Amino acid sequence: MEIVFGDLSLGVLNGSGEYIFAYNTGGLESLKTEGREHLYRTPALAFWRASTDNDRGSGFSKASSLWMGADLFYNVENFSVTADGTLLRWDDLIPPQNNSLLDSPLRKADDISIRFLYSTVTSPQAEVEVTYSVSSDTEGLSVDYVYRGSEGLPSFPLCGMRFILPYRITSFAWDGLSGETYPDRLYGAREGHFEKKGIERCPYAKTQDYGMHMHTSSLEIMAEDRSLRLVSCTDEGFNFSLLPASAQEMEMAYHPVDLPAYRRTYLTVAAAVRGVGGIDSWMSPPDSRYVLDASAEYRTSFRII
Amino acid sequence: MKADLSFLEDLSVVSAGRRPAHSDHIHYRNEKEAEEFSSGFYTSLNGEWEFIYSSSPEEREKDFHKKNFSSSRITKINVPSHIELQGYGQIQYINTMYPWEGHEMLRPPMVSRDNPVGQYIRTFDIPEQMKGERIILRFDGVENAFYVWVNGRFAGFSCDSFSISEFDITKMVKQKDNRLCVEVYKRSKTSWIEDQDFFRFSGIFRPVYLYSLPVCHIDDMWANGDLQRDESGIFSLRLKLSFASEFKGKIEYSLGSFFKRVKEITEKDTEIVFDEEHIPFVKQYHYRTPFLYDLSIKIYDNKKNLVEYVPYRIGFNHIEVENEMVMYNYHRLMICGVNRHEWSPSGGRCISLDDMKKDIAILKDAKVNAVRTCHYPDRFEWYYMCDEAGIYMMAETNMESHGSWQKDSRIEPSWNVPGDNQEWAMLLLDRCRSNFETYKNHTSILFWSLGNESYCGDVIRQMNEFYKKADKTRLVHYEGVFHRPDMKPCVSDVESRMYASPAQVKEYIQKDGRKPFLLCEYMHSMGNSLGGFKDYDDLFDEYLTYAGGFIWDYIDQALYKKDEVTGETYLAYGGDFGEKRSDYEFSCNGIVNAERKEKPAMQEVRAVYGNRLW
Repeated sequence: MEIVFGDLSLGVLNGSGEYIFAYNTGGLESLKTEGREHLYRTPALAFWRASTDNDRGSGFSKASSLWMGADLFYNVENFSVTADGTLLRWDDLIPPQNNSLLDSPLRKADDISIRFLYSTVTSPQAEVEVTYSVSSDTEGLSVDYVYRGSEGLPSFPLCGMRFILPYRITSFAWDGLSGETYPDRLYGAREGHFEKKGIERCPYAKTQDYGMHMHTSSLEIMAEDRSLRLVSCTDEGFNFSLLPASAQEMEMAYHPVDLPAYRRTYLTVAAAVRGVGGIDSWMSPPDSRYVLDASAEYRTSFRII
Repeated sequence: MKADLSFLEDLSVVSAGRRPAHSDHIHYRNEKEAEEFSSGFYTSLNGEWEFIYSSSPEEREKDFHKKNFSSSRITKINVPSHIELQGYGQIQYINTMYPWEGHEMLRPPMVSRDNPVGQYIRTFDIPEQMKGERIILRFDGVENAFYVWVNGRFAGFSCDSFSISEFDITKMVKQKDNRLCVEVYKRSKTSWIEDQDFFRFSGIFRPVYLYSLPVCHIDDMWANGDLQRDESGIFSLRLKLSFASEFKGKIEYSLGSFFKRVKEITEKDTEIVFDEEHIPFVKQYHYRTPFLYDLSIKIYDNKKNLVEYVPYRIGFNHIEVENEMVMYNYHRLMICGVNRHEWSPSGGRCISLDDMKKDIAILKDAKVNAVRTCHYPDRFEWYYMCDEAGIYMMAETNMESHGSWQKDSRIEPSWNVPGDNQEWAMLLLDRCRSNFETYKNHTSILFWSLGNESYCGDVIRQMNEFYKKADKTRLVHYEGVFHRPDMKPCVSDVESRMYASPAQVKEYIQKDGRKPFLLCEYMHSMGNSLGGFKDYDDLFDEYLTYAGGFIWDYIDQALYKKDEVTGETYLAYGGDFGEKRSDYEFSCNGIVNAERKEKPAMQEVRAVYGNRLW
């Protein structure tokens, strides 16, 4: 592999995968496969979904609204790199210290990982750790996500990561569960390989969250001139949605036609998702089994190829 | 009989000149017509009518029914349709609140001053084959109150938006150029009991017909097939006949290939009760195998000419409560149901037969076995379709008054209607009678329902009593008695609740449990919803007295609208028409969207209902 110890970024070239991690934006800044870019901005922490009617009706959106802000903004607390077993801290990576790495054998490291530590803009704060790893003997980029909660935080609709793909997709296919699924709406889903042409459009008259796919073992996203694959590294799989707009844009839209024109694709990979409810008119939350606890720990792991 | 504007508010006027409600059988001149579903006794009056729109009663043309009336205000309107969807007046969606909330302080039975009037005019000729016969004018749905004139003569008045209204106009018509005038008011006293959770429309929104009666006519029939425990069947038939003149002839009826009976009749035989027939083995009517037998009734004159032919399809079934369980055909009934409003994104509640056929196909595909006609009688064709498809029906009376006692989430019945107010009893009992008399022959109807969310009082007790007396073969349902536990012994054969959680269902069954339990509304399917549905399915295994429920609801109420900026057509819901007040997106709770596209949760419905029953 070729490792680039830049002044403000870490570059990793591994075969057809090219990755740039930015120290100043705190994350994966560029993700290229076969020379094609997949990121519009650094992946952000995802904590919000456009309120469903039941989220709103049960008062959940109001009680949890700080997570809408946490979904937009976050603090980068720290980062560190481990290259072939050598730990490089923030201080070791920035100029002028990186001058010493010019002739380092680590520039040809076989294993490299970069760990970002974030804190949420909530009070109290919660902690998120994202570790990206690349190995010369494995294709792609591994992502390990850990959310570590704090007592006193209200429940959130989901936690995970959001990738903004700078293009429109032509289709996507996944191994997992049929249709749209949420934790309290899994019973009707069957396991298998599924494919959808184009992006899914909001099927609800009032714009709200949709298109969640639980327990996915792999996902392939196709665009006109590039494609991207996500493979789960856990048995339970990851949860994803591919939407044509951000959670906040959808939150504010009264109808699907109110959304901005579809230009980019919002890929959310969630470690945990709240149920949708609906048992008791629109005034009750989902059963407690399907409500997330923001003081708990949630993890997910997947590989991007 | 004189038309008077006071009818709108006067509770003692139930209707004027309206024929008594009767069964919805269609009579034909011969079997060939029946095969083609085209009765020579009927002629349609649908199409383009002349129209004058007034935003208030004062603005209306008071002489519009007179012979030489002319006005530059006359425009055109399509019949059937809602006035508001033809470019007149205000489209409004509102749920529990009355549509005049915040605009006028009213109490029942006061009528809102925001009362647009549609005056409809058309001419018609009596078709050749109907000449000399008695002529009936039939409206299948006019919202909310209307007056009818034929050739300047007042024919009648009705104020029940969802029941069929008929007027005998034999003495008012001539062969050619009859002038039919209909004056439709958006609001009347009955607006207080037609507060269903829907868009508030007005106008002639279901078909209009003329039909004629031959010299001897079956005015009413009640055919019933009662399945016995040993799979035999008891068939009964009762007819009411009317005659235009003296008559000698015979009536011949048969059921499938079981039997044929013949009876000589004269004009004095206005009521015929045939002997009960005991059939050793019948195929039962079940949603899996909706087996129906062909009933054929023929009337011949004394020259052996066929006067009238009435075909009907009747099944054998049996419903009762036994050991706090709802037993259907001697097995426990498990309702996997859905509430259904009539809806089209272009026509509102003016829906086509094609829309209805699609609904049947979607419901069958979703493994739904029962439908609740929330909360009014549907187009009569729907009942025939449910019979054929094997979709059990909870046939609701046209009543909902939740604005009179449900104030947001607070229950405050200080001026609830109908409550104990006897002056409302005639209006409500008339609605029960119309519902029962019209649809009583439909095998798929298992429950009569008194309506929805109207609290409970003595008038509702009387409605319950009406159905119990009129029909021993079916169960009566009403949920609102939940708020008046003291009245439970005299209202509703089942304990019905809405939106009770699985835990609350368990609590009722364990603690009270004197009646079978069903959920007339549950799994509120608004937007992205229907989570936790499987928990209800598990109740079937835990409790024998749990009879299932009806999802709220089948279809989003949304209308096509053009985006003013982009020109793009979208599905608009409450509030998108500038109306105040409104309950906005609360109009969209379907398992299909307004265009009848499945919402994602449909795979859950199919699995949960399918798991149980197929």
